[in-house]
Amino acid sequence: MAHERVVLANGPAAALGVCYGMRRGGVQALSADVVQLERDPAAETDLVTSVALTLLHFTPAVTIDPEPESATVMLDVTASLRLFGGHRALCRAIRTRVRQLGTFVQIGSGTTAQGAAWLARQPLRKTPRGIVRPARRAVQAPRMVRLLDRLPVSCLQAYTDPDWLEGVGCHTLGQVRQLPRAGLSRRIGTELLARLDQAYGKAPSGFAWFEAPPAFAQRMELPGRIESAEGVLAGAQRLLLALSGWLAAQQAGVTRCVLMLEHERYRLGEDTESTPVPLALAQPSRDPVHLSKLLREKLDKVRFHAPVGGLGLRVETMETCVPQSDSLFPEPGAEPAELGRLLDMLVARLGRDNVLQPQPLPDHRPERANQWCPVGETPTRAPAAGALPPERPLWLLEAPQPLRVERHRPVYQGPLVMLTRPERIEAGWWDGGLATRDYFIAERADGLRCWVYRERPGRPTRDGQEDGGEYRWFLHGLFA
Amino acid sequence: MIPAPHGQPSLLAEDHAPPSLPPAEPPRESVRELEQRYPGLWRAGQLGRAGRLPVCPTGYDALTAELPGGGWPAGAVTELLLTQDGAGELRLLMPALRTLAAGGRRIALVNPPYLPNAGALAGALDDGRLPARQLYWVRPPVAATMASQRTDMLWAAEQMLRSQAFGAVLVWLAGARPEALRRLQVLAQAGDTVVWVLRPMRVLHDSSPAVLRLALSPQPGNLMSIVFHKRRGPVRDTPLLLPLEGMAHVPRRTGVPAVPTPAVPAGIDPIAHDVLDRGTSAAPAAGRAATELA
Repeated sequence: MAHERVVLANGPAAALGVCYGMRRGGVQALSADVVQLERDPAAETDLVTSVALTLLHFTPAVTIDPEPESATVMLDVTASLRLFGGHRALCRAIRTRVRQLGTFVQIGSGTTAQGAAWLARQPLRKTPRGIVRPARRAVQAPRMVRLLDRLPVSCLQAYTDPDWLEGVGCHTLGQVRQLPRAGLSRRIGTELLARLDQAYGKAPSGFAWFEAPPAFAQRMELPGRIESAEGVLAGAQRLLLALSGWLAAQQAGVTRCVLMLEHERYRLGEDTESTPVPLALAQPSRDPVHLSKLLREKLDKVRFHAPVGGLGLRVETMETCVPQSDSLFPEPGAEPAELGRLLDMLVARLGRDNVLQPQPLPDHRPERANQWCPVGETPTRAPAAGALPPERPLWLLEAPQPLRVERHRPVYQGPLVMLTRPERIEAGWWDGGLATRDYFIAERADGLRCWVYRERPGRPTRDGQEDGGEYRWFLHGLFA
Repeated sequence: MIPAPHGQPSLLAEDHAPPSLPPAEPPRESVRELEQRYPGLWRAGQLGRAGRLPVCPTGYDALTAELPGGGWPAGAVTELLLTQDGAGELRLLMPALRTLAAGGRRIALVNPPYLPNAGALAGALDDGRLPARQLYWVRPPVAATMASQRTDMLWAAEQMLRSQAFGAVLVWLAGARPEALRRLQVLAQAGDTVVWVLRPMRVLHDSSPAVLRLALSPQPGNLMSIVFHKRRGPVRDTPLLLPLEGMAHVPRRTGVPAVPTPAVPAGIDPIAHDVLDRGTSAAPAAGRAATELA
C-alpha cells in the first residue's frame, strides 16, 4: 500500500478481486483476511543498492535504471562473458548471487541496455496450457530485433499511454515502429522515439554508472527480532555479499571489519548498546563464503543479551588483493592462501592467543626462553640460532611442580635417580625473576626421563616459605 | 645427538621395498599371481606393502622394518597409546617430523598435554630441531569447559586436515569417541597428511579406525617399548625395544645394560602364518618388558 492505494497484490489477493489502485476500505470490504503492508520506498532503494553493489563482482559497469518504478539494475557484461564462462553461466551466477540476497531476479539480456531492460520486465504469462516463460535473452542483433518487435506496447507506459497506441491499432513494438516517425513525434513527443531508437541500437545511450561509495558502511533492518547466531548470519549474508562486490570494485580485500548488532532501543527501560563483532583476517579476502564462515565462528561466541533488530557492517582496513590466477598444476598444501584461510578460521574460533608459533628467546631461565607468539605477528628478530643449550626437554610444565623428598631423593610417582651432574642456572636478578637452581636429568624406575631442579637452601624460596635447611625439589619438564 | 638417517630430502618414500622376509613355504601359483596383480593385497603372514600408498620414513631402522610399507602411513591416522605423557613420544617422531619439515611441510601440535618447549623444538634442521616458521601450536581456550575444549580441538584438527596445508598433525585426544577418530581417518584419506593421534593407554580396548595402532611406554636407558596392537601385517606379541634419538651424552644409570637386549628371541619365527584373530589385545607392555629386562 502506498498513499492508501494498492500498489501490488499477490496471487490469492488478486483472486479475491484486489487490484491496482484500489483503496484500503475497498480491500477491507472484499475480505478481512487480506494482510495490508505499507510500502517502504527506503527499503526498496536499499535493496536495489545492495543488489548493484553485489553485482559489482561481475563487472564494474553497473547502473541503476533511473526510472522510479522500474527497480532495474543494468550491467554491461561485454568484457565479463569469457571470464565467467559464457552467457548462460553468467546469468546463472547472477541469479544465484541475487537469490542469496533474499530476493528474486528476472534476467533479460540483449545487445542494448534499454532493450534488455524491457525484455527482463516481461512477466510470466498464465495460459490454459500452463505458465509460459517469455523469451528474455538475445545475444545476436537480429534475434534482439525479433524479440523486441514482439513485445507488447504496455512496456512503454512510462512514456505514453499504451491504450492510445492500442487505439491506433498498435499492439506490439514492431507495429509502433512502422508508424510514420514525424507524425508520431508530433502527437506524443520525441521521448518515445528516442527510447525506441536506443532499444534498437540506432541511437547511442548514456548511463550514469553506479559508483561504489569510497568507504563501505551499510546497515540493514532484520525482518524480525532475532536472538540466535544462525538468524543473524542469514541476515548478514546480504551485507557480506554487498561487501564482496564493493571490494571487487575496489580491487581490494578486507583485513578488518566490524559487524554491529543493533539491539532494540529502550528495552526494559534501558538503552542497550549495540554489540560490535570484530572480524580480523591475516590475509585480505573478499570471498563471501570465507567471510561468512569466519563470522559464524565469531557469532557462536557472542552472548545475545537482547534481541537484534538491525545489522551494520563497516570496513576498517583493507588491502589491495588481486585474485590468484588458477594454476595448471595445483600444489596441495603449498598454497599460502589456503593456510591463511585456515589460520583465520582457527583464530576466529579459538582466539588469537591459542594459535601460536615458537619464538624462543635467548634466556637461561627455561620458562622465559620458552616464548610462543600468535600467528601473523612477525618475529621481531630471527630466533637465536647460536649454540645449542646443553640438553632441554621437549615438554615443560606450566609451573614447576614441587616434589616430595624421601631419603634425600625427590619422588615423582616413584623415586628418581639423577643421571647427570647439576647444571646451575642462576639468572634474572635484574628483572625480579631471580632463579637459583641446579638442574638434573633424572630417570624413574620405569624409564621416564624428567628434568628436575633443586633450590639451594638458605635462599628466599618461590612462595616465601622457610625451607628448613633442606633442598627443595621441583619437576620442570619431561623428555618427551 | 644421533644424526637422523635420512639421506635425501625427498618428502615421502614411495614404493618402499617390502621387508625381505622369507616365507616359510612357497605360496601357490595362483596366490602369487593374485599378489602380483593387486599390490594392495598381502598375506596374513606378511607385512602389508600398503599398496602404492605413500609413507613417511621413521628414521629408525628397527621400526621401519616392522611397519607396513616401511614408514608412518601418510594420509591415514596412526594411533599412539601412551602409558605416560612425556615418555619420549616426540623424540620417537622427531626424525619423521624433520623429514617432513625439510620438504617444506608444516607441523601442528594440537592440544599437547604440557607446554612445548620452543627452544628445544624450534631451531635449525641440522641440529635436530624443526624450523620455527613451520611449527604451529594450537591449544583450547582456557575459559572453556572440558567438553567444549574437546570439540574445539577435534574441530581444529579436522580443519587442518581439510585444508591440507599441514604435512603432519599431532593431536592429543584423551576422551575422543571412536566416531571422532573415524572422521579424522576419513578426512586424512583425502590428503597426504601424516596424522598421529596420541591417546592414553586406557582406551586400548575401544575400537579404533586407525590403520596403525602402537602402544608406547618408556624403558630405562633411553629406550622405548613399542607394542604393535594393530598393523597390516602379522601379529607380533613381543614389544620392540627401540633406542631413542637424542640424549646421547646423558650417562646411563648404573646397572642398565648399554646395549638393548634383543627383544625377539632368535628361535621364534617372526612370521606367524595366518593368525588373524588375536582375541584380546596384549597387556600394556610396561610391566612385561620390565620383567624381561630384570
